[in-house]
Amino acid sequence: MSIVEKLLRLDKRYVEAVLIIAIAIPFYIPMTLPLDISPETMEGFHFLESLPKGSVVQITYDYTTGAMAELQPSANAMVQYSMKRGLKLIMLTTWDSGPMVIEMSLRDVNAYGKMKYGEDFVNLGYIGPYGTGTVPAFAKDIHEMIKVDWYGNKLEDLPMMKNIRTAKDIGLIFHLTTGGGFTDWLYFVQAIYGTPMYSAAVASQASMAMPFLKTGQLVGVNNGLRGAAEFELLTGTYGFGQGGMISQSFANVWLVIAMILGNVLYFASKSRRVKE
Amino acid sequence: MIDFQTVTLMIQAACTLLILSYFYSENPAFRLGEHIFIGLTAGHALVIGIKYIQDVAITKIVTGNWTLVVPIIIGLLIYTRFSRKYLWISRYPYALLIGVATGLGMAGSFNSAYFSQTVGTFMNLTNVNGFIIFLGTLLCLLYFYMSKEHTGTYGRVTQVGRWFMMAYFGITFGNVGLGRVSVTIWTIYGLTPQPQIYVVIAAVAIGVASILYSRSKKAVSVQAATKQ
Repeated sequence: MSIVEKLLRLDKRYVEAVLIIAIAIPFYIPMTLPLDISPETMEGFHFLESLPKGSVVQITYDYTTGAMAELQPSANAMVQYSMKRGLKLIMLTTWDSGPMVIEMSLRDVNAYGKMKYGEDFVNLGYIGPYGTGTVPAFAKDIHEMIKVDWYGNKLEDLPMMKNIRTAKDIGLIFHLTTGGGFTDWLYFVQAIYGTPMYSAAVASQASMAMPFLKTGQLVGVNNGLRGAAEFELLTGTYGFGQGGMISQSFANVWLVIAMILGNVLYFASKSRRVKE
Repeated sequence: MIDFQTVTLMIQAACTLLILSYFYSENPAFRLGEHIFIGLTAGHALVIGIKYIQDVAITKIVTGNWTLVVPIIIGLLIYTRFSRKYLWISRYPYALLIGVATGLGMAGSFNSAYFSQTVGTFMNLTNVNGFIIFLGTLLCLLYFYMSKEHTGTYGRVTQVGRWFMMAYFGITFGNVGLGRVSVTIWTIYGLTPQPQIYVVIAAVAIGVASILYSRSKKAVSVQAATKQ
């Protein structure tokens, strides 16, 4: 058996093992790599900078733990940026596993230690399923739709919520999405109430969000982990995004090598078979 | 003294490794992890669902908003599907749900998805990118126009629309690949710090031992079969 044939019959698990090693290297050897900022993240950041102090930002955690790799860095960076800028935060989700992700995000950035609950931020938790009347009802009258926050506190008792009655009182919707819930906020809130919307989407969904950026329906888009890394860089926060992108670069280099090698070996074996 | 946080992290690492063991092959450890995951997810969804009904409906009913009893009864009627005799009743709540969803969807999506996006397609036609977007949209639409046969010059034109779609699918697929790598990075990142790394070392040792044991067992059975 020739080397070409041996390599072609190589167990795919060796490729996966090298991928895992390539990913793990940057965890143990500290390094930095240059990162260019893409226009869609830059546009979003410019909008954020234009928000006056005290503006209300709604962070919508519409994802499960499976998408945390790509979205949690953006969420954490947004919370930290809001703390720095003095923006008020409303956290909520239309996914049943969202409350867990919100808690993790709040714990990651030590929100309870750095901000005052009820005055600087409010966690409304799971407000209901997307794809139904939940989002339109919420946008129309928040206090009518939700009586208590995620911890059971009455909404009327929270000082921050006193002046926030409808979607018009929200300065920006920062929507973290894996797909579900995105159109609800865009169609029923952004289109009807004119509330600006910024989308942080998993890479597979970013191409779906881009057309809305071009038409001005979105103010910015964070494209997966790369977008999160850019967002961290712009907002001056350091989290998994920037560190993860180094591993991502290593993994991509290995995947490109494996792809080229696979193709070269395939065509080499094909031409050999033709000659025989 | 091991605290609650350490135990949680170790359980988290162990569950991750149970699932990752699938990389080697389908095995009982993976199935155990799979069942734990499905059970926990279903249990969690149930608890959140009950809490939602409590917050949105029960709390309001208790405070005097009795009108909410009506949608709760309509919602409960969906469960008549489980009875062959009363199955017909479930069609009414479904009809209501679909009707409301369609009405709401039409109201919101027309401006956002159709009008704004159509206008957006015609914006910046003097710009190269804007023109490519316009051309791509037009040719993709032509590809799905089935009233004329896709042959000759028209067929070649619609073929370009197909290329645009292939480019979009390729980009999306590439992005999916990137996303999966990100998830792998996150998973491995979660396994590298202490105390998770100890669980990884223990799991690798157990995994290697079980592989060697199963191979030696296989070799013995092969030898026995050859002797026979």
